Amino acid sequence: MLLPDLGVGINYAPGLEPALEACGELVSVVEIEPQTMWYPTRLASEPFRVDQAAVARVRELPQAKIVHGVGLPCGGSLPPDPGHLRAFAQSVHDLEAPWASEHLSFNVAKGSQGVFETGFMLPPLQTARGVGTASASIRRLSSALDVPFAVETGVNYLRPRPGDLPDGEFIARVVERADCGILLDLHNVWANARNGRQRLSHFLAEIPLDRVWEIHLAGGMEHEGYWLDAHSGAVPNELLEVTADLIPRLPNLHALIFEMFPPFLARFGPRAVASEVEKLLELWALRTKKNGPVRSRRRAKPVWQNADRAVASSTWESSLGTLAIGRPPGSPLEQELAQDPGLTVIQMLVNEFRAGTIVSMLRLTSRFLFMVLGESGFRRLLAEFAQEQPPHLFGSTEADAFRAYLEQRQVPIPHLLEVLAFERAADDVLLTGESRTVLFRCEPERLLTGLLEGEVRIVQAEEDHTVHLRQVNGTIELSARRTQT
Amino acid sequence: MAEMSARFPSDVNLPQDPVPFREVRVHAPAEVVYDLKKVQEILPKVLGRLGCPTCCSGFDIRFLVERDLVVDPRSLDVRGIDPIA
Repeated sequence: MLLPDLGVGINYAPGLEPALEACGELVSVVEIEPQTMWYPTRLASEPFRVDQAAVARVRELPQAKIVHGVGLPCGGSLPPDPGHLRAFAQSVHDLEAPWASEHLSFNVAKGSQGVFETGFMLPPLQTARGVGTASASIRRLSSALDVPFAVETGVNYLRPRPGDLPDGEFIARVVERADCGILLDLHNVWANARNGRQRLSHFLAEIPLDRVWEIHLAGGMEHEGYWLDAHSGAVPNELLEVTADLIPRLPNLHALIFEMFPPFLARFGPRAVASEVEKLLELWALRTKKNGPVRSRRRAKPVWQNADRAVASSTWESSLGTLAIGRPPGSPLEQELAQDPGLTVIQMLVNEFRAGTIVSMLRLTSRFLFMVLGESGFRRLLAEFAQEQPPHLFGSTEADAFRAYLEQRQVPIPHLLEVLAFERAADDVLLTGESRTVLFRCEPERLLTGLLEGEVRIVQAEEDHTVHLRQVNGTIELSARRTQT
Repeated sequence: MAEMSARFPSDVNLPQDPVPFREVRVHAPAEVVYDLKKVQEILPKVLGRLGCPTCCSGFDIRFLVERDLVVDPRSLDVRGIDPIA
């Protein structure tokens, strides 16, 4: 199996266009996160639809493309959603990616109330049983693809548990059993080491380096004693030095990718991304060996087999998932995990991610809530919502759930439901192409533009108003008119 | 037709139903153009957010960014801002 040398690149998700533009010809490969360009349709016959305009823009990029999944991790015991898997495979095919990758994590679990999403990529059970679960999950995913598959080494904010396989040993066993490549996210592994997990040098000594096809580098941030894999800025110098030492030892390295989380781009700046790419180009030049076929490393001895503490992967996923979404601990495993200070970090990140998704999706409604309730009131409302509803993977479903919650909660803010209905209608128009009409009992122009400008402007109207939304060439056209009551 | 620009208290905790907001009568500046074009401009940008958010295993600042646009983080007072770019 020979893979092409693609060189240095950056990740791509909507919002990162200025970074791509600033990098220009510095990058020879773009790593596409396909799920960011599709959305659930609320239709059983076609669960996901691809934003064809966005995909067309990506296809036109002159760089090579590789595909990196961000919604279908392969470290857990539950089978992938068939519709999601089909769409992922289609994206890999459409973008002509020479290989694809996903995270060695899980983001769904089955609890007493059924299957739920965890709102975060969580670390899999790291025992001999976990090796079996993860390798089976990788094989399920990779068998649906027509290109080679690599699994990404994940971040893990939990402390090591007695009896777990060491981080590197776990990865080695999984990839050898699944016979796949490694996407070595060095920032994740470096963060894990800083946060008290295995030392990076030990990790690298345990994994089969000839399976490393791709490296991720990124920057992060400190939070209450933890280093977060935030993709927020420059690669730390110490990590650059580690990477420089490592690259000559990787015979099958084909790509080196700088990762950025789009909301940080405005602060970091597109030019700063280009500067990071220049550093990666210097690292790429340190490669010393040509490609070779992937060789299987000698299988590690099963010395940890007996240390498996009989926890099933499904139990691990249910327990950690339940805690991650803020539910109280029940079982002995949950009681044990609840003592881990890293769990508080995970819960905070889940909540902040959900809050970020809601304000991004429901911008006008969120502004209304900010202005009326203040930050603490809005956060309290979000916390109540999070207690009632598990997270949803896609932004549109999370927004639907929050809308339903606000309607049921009957928050007594005049005209809030009208703004909410307006934003729902806008989503519908974008998703279906059909027109929608929304009734306002105040002047919609003043209310809606006021929200954009940071003021609540309510003009009591003697008659009702309607706002008509229709799609014209991919954009929404609005028109308002008065109606007699 | 009565016009008012309502400024609600900036920090009301739920649940306190009904939310004890007050309305302050303020005349909107004459130069403000009330049309839906500004609103119309931001709507297609939502499409990119309908999908699965990008890989993030760190802190998501989207909530804080939006808060800073709307609410003064020190006083928690609502402040005037430019329209969304």
